[in-house]
Amino acid sequence: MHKCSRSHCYAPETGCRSGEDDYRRCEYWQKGEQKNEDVSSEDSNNAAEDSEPVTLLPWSGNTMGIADVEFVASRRRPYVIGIIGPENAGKTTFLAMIYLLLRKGHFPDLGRFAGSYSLGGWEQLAGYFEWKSETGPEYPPHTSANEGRRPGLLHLAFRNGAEGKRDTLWTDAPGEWFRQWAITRENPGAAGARWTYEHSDALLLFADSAALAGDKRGPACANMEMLAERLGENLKDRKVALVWTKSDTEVAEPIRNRVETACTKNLPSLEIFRVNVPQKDLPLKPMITEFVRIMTWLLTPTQQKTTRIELPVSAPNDPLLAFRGEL
Amino acid sequence: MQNSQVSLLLVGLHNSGKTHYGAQLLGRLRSGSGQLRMNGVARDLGPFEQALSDIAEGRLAQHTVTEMYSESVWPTVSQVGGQAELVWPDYGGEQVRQLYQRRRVGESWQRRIRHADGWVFFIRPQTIANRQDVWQRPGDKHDKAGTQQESLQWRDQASLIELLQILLYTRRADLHTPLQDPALVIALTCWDELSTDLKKRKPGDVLKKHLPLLASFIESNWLAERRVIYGVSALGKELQADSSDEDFQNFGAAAQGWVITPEGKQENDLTLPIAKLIELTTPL
Repeated sequence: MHKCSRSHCYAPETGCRSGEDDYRRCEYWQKGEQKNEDVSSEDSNNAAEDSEPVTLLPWSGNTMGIADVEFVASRRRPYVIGIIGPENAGKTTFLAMIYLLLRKGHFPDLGRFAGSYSLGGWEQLAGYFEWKSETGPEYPPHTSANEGRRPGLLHLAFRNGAEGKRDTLWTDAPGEWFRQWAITRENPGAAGARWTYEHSDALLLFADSAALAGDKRGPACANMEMLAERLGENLKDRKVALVWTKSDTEVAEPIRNRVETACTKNLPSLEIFRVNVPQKDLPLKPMITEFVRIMTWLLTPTQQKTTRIELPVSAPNDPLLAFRGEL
Repeated sequence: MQNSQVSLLLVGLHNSGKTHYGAQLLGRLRSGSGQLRMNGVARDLGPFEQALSDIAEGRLAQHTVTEMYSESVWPTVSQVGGQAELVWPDYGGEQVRQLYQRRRVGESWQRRIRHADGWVFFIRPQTIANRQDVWQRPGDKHDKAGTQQESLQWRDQASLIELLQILLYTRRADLHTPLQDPALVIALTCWDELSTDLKKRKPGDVLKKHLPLLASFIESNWLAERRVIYGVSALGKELQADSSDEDFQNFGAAAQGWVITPEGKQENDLTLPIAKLIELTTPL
């Protein structure tokens, strides 16, 4: 239980939101201390162990929540990559594959890895695809829709030569949100999907080849058509790509055509990629190339400056919108 | 650099080879045979007394006690006459691990991080695992979902990058453009332990091959002229804690150990990385 009386301040887990080097000197912390006699033993232990003034770090290393973004967004608005698609389409797996490849030195053509404030979150995803002594790789468990109204955010910074550092945030959100959003834009259960759509600078729409080749390919295809329509509603000139996952599974031509037609009709300048998780019987090199191609495409500046969609002028509780500097 | 004091921040996890290198460096400075030599007499060799004694006997030095932190001031002069006082710290590597595990930086570490002119980052590559994942060893086609993993575990390259990020944040470094300060020496320690394939490479290439994400982080965030990578084998071979090495006993510790220069050349002068760091701390 944190004791700080200031909203959105999570000291001592992360740094003092008022900017005090030592959180215990902050007036909000002191007010909170007076109010909260019910201090957890963990807090007490931490405070007791700090025999000298300490600075807390403004990031935890885990997958970020919205409140954590302020630190990354304080200098320059980060580039948000929205990962969109139905349940079990492989969105979280895609993120894990990207990190595993970076960890091996497969960098996009336009940027070398320059840091991450959610390294622990990335490592956690990567852990599913490592060989452990007792078990082989597994897929990450289903991303639960009960985990909040905003997506988890994973941070990566890139630098291209001597240019400035470019911060990117990759959303990780459950597929149920997008299904509900595709049907009813204002569905209360789809707040996270709306947040993802409204804040993303680039969008990746995931098509699950296994579902689109399966017994329920009809509803799966209809769902993709609805998602494509919804994505096109207020797209402006944002980048958007269709990513076929599990692409070793053959999708019947009529279904493939329906999905790609819906996408090209609603999403101008659509790019199409096909990805797969490495498997024994599939050549690795083309798979690596395709993931690197996606990263490069995402980091390639568009000809036109991205036009932001209409948003409230002031949104003090939204760290991304609080920024008023260079985009 | 004339008559200046150069304060170094030595960063290395537990068992990364800081103490062995410090003790061997001290020996080289005193013998006066390298690029840097002692200019007079060190005021206090106390922190290295045990390590110097262990190594002279050809035994593995005992690890520095976790809670300990001490500094020795070594007056040095380079072959071209530049004088500098090295402030050389010694501490238990556990203190560094706590920076990213407890996620708080005490005032004394803040002071060290902010005031150091140059950083030496000790990495012992053989202790950093390269975990086998599906890109190295693809599995069968499967659709088995794992269970939610336990809380965050800092490990391998990620822990080293996180550590550097914490140090840079504490120093209030502006990462918008590549850094001039602090100058950085990466010391890849226990080079003698590396595989035959890796040993043939230059230190910079070893870092890229073995720890590509960390190598990229360093390349991205430091100007090329403010960072340098050396291979270091402070002892030249593996010593044991419970038996003495004949060569160390007979020929002395000063005859053991070597560095691999950034160009890939083996040199017996263990002072080279520090001489280079002093050179790099000179303002551009």
